[in-house]
Amino acid sequence: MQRHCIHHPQRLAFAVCMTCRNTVCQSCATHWDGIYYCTTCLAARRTASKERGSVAGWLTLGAGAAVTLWLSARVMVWAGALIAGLF
Amino acid sequence: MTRAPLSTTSVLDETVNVVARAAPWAAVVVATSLPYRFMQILFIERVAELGSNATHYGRALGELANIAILAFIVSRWGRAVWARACRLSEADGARPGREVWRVPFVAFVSYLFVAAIAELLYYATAITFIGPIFALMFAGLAIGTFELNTRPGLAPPLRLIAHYSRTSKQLAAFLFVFFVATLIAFINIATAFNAGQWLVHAFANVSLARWDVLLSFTNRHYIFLLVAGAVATVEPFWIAAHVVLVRRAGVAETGEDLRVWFRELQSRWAR
Repeated sequence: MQRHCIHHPQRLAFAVCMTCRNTVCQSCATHWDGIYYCTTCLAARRTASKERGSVAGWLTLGAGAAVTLWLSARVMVWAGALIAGLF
Repeated sequence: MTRAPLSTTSVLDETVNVVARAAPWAAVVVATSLPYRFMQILFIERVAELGSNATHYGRALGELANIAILAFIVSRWGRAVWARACRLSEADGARPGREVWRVPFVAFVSYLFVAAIAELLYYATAITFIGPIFALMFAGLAIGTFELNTRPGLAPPLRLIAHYSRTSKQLAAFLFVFFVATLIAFINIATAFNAGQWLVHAFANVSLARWDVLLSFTNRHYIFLLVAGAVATVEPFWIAAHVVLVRRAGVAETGEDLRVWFRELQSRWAR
């Protein structure tokens, strides 16, 4: 376990980045949502969060949810009729 | 640092604390799930009445199923609010505030998608014994992982469920525990109704002949309503248990245990 910051070897380590597991000093560590990140990993997370709004993702998720809900209603009727026919 | 194994009893213990802190929010899950439960009962009633003729009434049953699915969406929103309340209560160790209402939209739509798959699995395999068991485990993981969904898409919520399915032992134990709990809730609610009837009989001197028929086990409606009541009573605990389970199973990945480990190392260096 390293005792010094990966970016500033002259400074003592303050936290472990939860993404890359490197030790970082107080100025390199950012406490976000209860977890410590180094600046590089935090930047990567920000980029990833920008991609969240991808239209294709929303379209597939919305269509997937709608189709599955519609199918659920159909299967509910089918299963009900099937079970009722058995008794 | 020694990491304690994930045990069902420890998760249930924590669940009790979480539910106690977030208790007022349970009203949301109960209130939103009641319309869906009533629609389910109505659907089962109609199917039971029609019997083998049910296949000839596909359109009427389909309309009923469509309304039930609308009520299903409302009930899943209620579940999402309650799951968020449990998660916030567990993270802060305090009673959650208004932020509970701010359910992330992407997380909710992802949850709706996987919850619909669970429902589909449940109905499609209702005739088997083992199918609904898997559907219930899937539904538990769906609500447990719902807030971890941050990106829209079909694969991410399914991937999360697959990832946390390694807790299958605890999920199976939950099924047993909550089945027994539902049974006990059923008996308690039935006893409460009987006690009420008896008290009215004994002290109010009111003729309850009609109520005696309505609140008897020969009445199918009464039994269905008791089941719905028992499920509605146990549901908040079931959701909270899955939220706690997923959080505890994922604690190593979120870095909480690493933080403790780092604090330990720091104190060692200081010596």
